[in-house]
Amino acid sequence: MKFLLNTLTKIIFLIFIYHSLYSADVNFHAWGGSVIINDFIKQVSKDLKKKNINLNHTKITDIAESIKILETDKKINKLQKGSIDLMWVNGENFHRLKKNQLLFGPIDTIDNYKFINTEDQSLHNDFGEPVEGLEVPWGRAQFVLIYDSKMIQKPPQTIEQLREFIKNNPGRFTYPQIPDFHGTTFLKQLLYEIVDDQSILQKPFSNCLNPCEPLKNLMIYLKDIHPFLWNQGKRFPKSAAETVPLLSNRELWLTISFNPNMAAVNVSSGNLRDVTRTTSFIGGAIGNTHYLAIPFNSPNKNASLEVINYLISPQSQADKSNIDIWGDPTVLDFTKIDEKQKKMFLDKQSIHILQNYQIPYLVEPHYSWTEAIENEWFKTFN
Amino acid sequence: MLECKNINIQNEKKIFLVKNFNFIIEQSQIFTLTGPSGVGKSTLLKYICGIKQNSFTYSGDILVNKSLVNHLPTNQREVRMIFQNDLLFPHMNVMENLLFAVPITKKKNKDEALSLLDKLNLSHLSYKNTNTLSGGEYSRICLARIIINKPSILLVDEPFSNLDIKTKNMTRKFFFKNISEMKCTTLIVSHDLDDIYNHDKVIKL
Amino acid sequence: MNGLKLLINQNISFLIIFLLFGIVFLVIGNILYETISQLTIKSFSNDLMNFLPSISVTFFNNILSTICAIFIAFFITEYLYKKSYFSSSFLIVLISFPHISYCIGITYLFATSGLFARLFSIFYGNEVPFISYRGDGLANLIYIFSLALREVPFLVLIGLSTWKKINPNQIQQQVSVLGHSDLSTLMNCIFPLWIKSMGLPVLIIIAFSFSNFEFSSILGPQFPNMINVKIIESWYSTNTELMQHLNSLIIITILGAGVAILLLFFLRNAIVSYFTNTRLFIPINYNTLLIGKFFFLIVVLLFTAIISITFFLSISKSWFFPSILPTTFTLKGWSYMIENYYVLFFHSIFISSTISIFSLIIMTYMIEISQNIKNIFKMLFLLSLMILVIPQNIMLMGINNLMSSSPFFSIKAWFYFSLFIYILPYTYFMTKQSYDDFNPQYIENADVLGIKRLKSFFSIKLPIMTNDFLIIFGVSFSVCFYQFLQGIIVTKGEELLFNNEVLILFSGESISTASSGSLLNFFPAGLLLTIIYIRYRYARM
Repeated sequence: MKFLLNTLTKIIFLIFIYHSLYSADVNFHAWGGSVIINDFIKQVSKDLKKKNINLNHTKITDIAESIKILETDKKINKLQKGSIDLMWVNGENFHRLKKNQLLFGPIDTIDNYKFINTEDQSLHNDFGEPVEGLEVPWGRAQFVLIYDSKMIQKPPQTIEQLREFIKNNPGRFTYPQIPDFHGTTFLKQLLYEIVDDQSILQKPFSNCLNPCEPLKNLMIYLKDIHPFLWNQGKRFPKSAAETVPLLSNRELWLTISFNPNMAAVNVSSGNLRDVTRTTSFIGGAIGNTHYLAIPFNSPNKNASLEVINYLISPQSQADKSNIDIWGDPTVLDFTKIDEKQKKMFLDKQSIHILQNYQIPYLVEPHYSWTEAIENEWFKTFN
Repeated sequence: MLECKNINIQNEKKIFLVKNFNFIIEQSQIFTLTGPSGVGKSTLLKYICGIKQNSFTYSGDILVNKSLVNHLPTNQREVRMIFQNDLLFPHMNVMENLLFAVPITKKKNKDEALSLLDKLNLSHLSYKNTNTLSGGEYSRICLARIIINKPSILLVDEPFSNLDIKTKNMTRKFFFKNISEMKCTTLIVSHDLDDIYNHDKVIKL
Repeated sequence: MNGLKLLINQNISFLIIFLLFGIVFLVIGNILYETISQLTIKSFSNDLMNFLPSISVTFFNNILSTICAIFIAFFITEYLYKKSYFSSSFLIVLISFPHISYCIGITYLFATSGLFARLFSIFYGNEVPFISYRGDGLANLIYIFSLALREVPFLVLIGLSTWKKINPNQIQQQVSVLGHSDLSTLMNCIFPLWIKSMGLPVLIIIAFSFSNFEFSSILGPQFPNMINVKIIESWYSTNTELMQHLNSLIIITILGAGVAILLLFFLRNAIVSYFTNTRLFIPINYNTLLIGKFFFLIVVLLFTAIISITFFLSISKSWFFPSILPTTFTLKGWSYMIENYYVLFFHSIFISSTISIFSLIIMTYMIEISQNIKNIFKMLFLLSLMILVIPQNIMLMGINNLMSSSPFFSIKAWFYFSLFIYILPYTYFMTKQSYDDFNPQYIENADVLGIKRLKSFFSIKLPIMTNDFLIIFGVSFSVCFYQFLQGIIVTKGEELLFNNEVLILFSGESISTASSGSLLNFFPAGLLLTIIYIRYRYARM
């Protein structure tokens, strides 16, 4: 009996030790819908094994799920042993995290942060909300239009050309349903084209006169084009990913994306036809940055910091921007990295992507606009 | 011995099927219970065993060997019964059915079962599936199953109704011989008093 | 001593019931309290007016699809009963087809660039798909029929056993001697009898149609969205205006489901009395079997088409309009699924089978020891009803609230519990049904032979009811294996089933991976039920 008890205590002790040894587990909450991104994160976690870090990719449907976990933890005063160590976040989700003080930081003290341009306002304002070191840029995105070059010779590049295209080719264009992030971004892009003074979009929505003129004009424009959209604007795809098969089957001839390399990546994996090309609005396209952040109650903050440090290293960023791997543009400043590192970024030329990065970069409107646009859209069309 | 005191059985409409019914059967006596159909003979037998119908109300004491058994579940009363339409277990063959009635199966029991089947001219069926049996064979095997159980108190509900005259005589002889050998206290329900011989008393319900 | 034992036994089953009741009441009470305390009459009436289109669409779509399902199932049942009873039990395998894969399959079949459009383009010769015109009217229609056809296999299976009990052949002979036609026999005599004993399955279906999320989000109309979509949308949302709607939506859905059930039962009685009092002396002898055959073929063809299109999607690299078959093939989807998800896959199988066996054992135990106590069954019935009728997303939100306010148990425990309570009603109804069908004389027979209850359970009940138990296990396994809202609402991605991952993959760009996932998802339950089907077939011959 005594022997048995002894063994039992030993086993429990061993389990305890085992757990404490492997406490360098980093639970990374990130959207798990894309095979390409999942594969990239899997490769990263393989590389991090060498540094004795276990990166677990918790594949979630929506980062709002994870935010709810954190909000609950805060409510019940669970300040230390949270279940999330790292999250992939931006925009109004970041705003919500920051407002409720759910983030650990500042975390811009990590080593590789030196490669990031500290002057670039687009990296340090997340949808108009100052980042203040609570999150670290991971990748960039810019609004692009993806089209089938066999069906369209000259793609639309301004809002008026878009209207003309839609009216001449009824049923061949659509955008994801609001409140999908891509759909909202498309409306913001249109808003940029509609307003006279773009600076109003950088201020909180409450600064816009009541009734807000640009928003009203946006709805007039949408009402004008809706009857000529796919399914006469009575049905919308749920997400941008849902438009990929529609484009490949030529149900749609033109669609939107937020990744300039999306066409190239999907052509090589066989999801899109070879004739797919990318363009954008010549007046400028909304770009934003997506970030990595550490929750306030992560039990492994040091390991998480190390992971972030690895993810913004030139090597990892070069892999990420490679169109054969993910094709997500880098956040690093090319003037700050040396020649050897620059070589890793040498672009693979592809006819599917935007030919020259000449499209001006428009900053995301202030986050309060998102909600305003959504509500106005619901009111008008629902 | 089996004793019933003041037994009352009412159906769902509060009509008495059995009212103030009393009898005592001494050790190894054979009683016969008769009466017109629908009067509650089978219900009474089932109540003695402890099988109740949910909508009926029952009262009265049942004493087995002078001890009250009312609170005991059926399988703990020493009362055994043969139903009017007795069932063999469909997933077992004939031999398994017979041996199932014996608490612990031994080699001795198997020999006994074989000899019982032999006496009933059914030995060719020992390993047959039960759903291949004819009606007569079926009810005889039910009888054999209860006999191998060696009951001390046995209730029998219309045991020979399914048989033709020739087999009936043979089976009846076999049955009563075994019962008297076992010194079993028996209560038989029957319409037909010719069915029964060497009974000690007839009770009318 | 024995009496004491009995007392303890019975009290255990009361204890279990009260425990379950307590938790369910706590969950419901919690969510209702949270909702009502934040609700003002003004905001509620405002929301009610705003959501009126959503409410009416949800309400009528669900009721119509249930009614369609009942009628279709009735005719198929008639056909199968008379023609090929045994091949019909193959429908049980279709019951286990995942809802999500079914919905997505329907989308791929009927899209403007879907399989039918491609077949059409062979004759018409168009290289580019036609312009898509799927308005909300059509979406409603598709929703109604696809939900109805999805529920038909389940209804037919239960309907067949009900049908057997009615003994329709004799009725038919008697009625046709009186000069009725086949159709009038069917509608005047057999349908009222049949529908009267189909109360429970119909209830399950109407409750499901109100609580499902996948059908309304994938196939339902978008303007207006159905209520379930709106609830999940506001649950996730960071938009404060949307978040405030949640409270009114919860109340509205619960009321809606209740009213729909009452309405349906009122309708049932009305239909029954209409048919029993109206004589349909139709002189021409329509062959009623043809209707059943037609619907049966539609169901079989639809499922075949969906399974095969999912299969082709899973092995295609690129498959563009207008080619009927994929042009380039790849097994990358399959290898990706197996490589990345095999642990979760087996884990989900393990969880689902453990939970269904556990709930089967609990149910059997409770039914076994409390056969003479009527109240236990009434309470179990009430409990199952409550779990089924309160829409699933709302119930799970309640569990989630409870979980966050009382950190006594780990997330895992809550996750298993939230799965368990959704298996419970199915296990209870089916186990009770099997016990009712079981001839009690077998046990009485064993009793009068002096055999102990435990022994008679294991050597008589269990062998005789093996097939029933297997079917219960199979069905509750597939119900459990295809749950997904638990992983989203209760654990928020921390504990998942394989089904969740498949759903997430469908939100991404790689259809071949998602499709192989969804076939893999069908595999365990499909295999299990096929084995049961084969056993069933030979055992009953």
